[in-house]
Amino acid sequence: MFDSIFKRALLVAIVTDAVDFLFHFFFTNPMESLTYFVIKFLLAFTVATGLFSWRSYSQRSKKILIIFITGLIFSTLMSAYYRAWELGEARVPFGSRAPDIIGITRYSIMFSLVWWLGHATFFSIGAWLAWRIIKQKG
Amino acid sequence: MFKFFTILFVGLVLLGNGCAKQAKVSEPTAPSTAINQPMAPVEKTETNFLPKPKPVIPADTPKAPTATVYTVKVSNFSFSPAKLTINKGDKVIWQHDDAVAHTIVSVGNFSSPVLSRGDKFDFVFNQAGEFNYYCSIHPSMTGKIIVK
Repeated sequence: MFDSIFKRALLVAIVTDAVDFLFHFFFTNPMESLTYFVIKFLLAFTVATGLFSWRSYSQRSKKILIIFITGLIFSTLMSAYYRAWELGEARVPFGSRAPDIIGITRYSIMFSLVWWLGHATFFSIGAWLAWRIIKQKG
Repeated sequence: MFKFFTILFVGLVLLGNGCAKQAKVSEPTAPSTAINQPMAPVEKTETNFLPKPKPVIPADTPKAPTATVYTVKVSNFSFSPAKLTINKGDKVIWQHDDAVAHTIVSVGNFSSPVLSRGDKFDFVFNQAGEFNYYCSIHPSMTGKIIVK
């Protein structure tokens, strides 16, 4: 019914949201809103569709690296959205939207890296699973 | 002779009485204590043709209840207390004490500016009801004010 690209992208979005939710639940405060997870789901689905639609992807040998770079792009786009929201719409201080991470000082380089690399990792996990579970036809 | 002396005797008697009376009259009389005593108070008997107006004692007018001021602390991405019950006319002050900016928003009721550490926002609740509010920056931060 649905082609493999759609299935893979859907699996990527589900896994990305699920892992991100667990991360927020156990390691951050406060919990994020439903809107946040919906946006993340849609963005992960879109980026994953682009990844698996990329014709050169199936021909590349370093798929895992490509997956992780795609994850960094996904994370960058997600951060860009909320920074734009802070400055352009809510008119609140830069970075104030992000929840606290337990054990990490806010407004430090480590704080930014954990968010950026963490979201990229969540996406990469989903993409790797989709690549391993759902075989691309054609 | 006898008659002469009798008439003489009676005349002397009469003459003596007259002089005595005159002496009594001309003599300053001591004041009568009975007359000069202060009069005993006479009990007044009032005749009330009209009912005596009773003194008007003002009834205890109910005093306007004094408004109470409550403080909600904003810290650690939460409102404390998250649920607060107050009376109509009371004031609630949100005291911001967090590292990040927050807002206090109740749709259709009130909306604060962006608050930083040390800032305050207050609102007087003049209507009864339940007022849910949240932080527009961190929507999972919610609170409720119940106004009786």
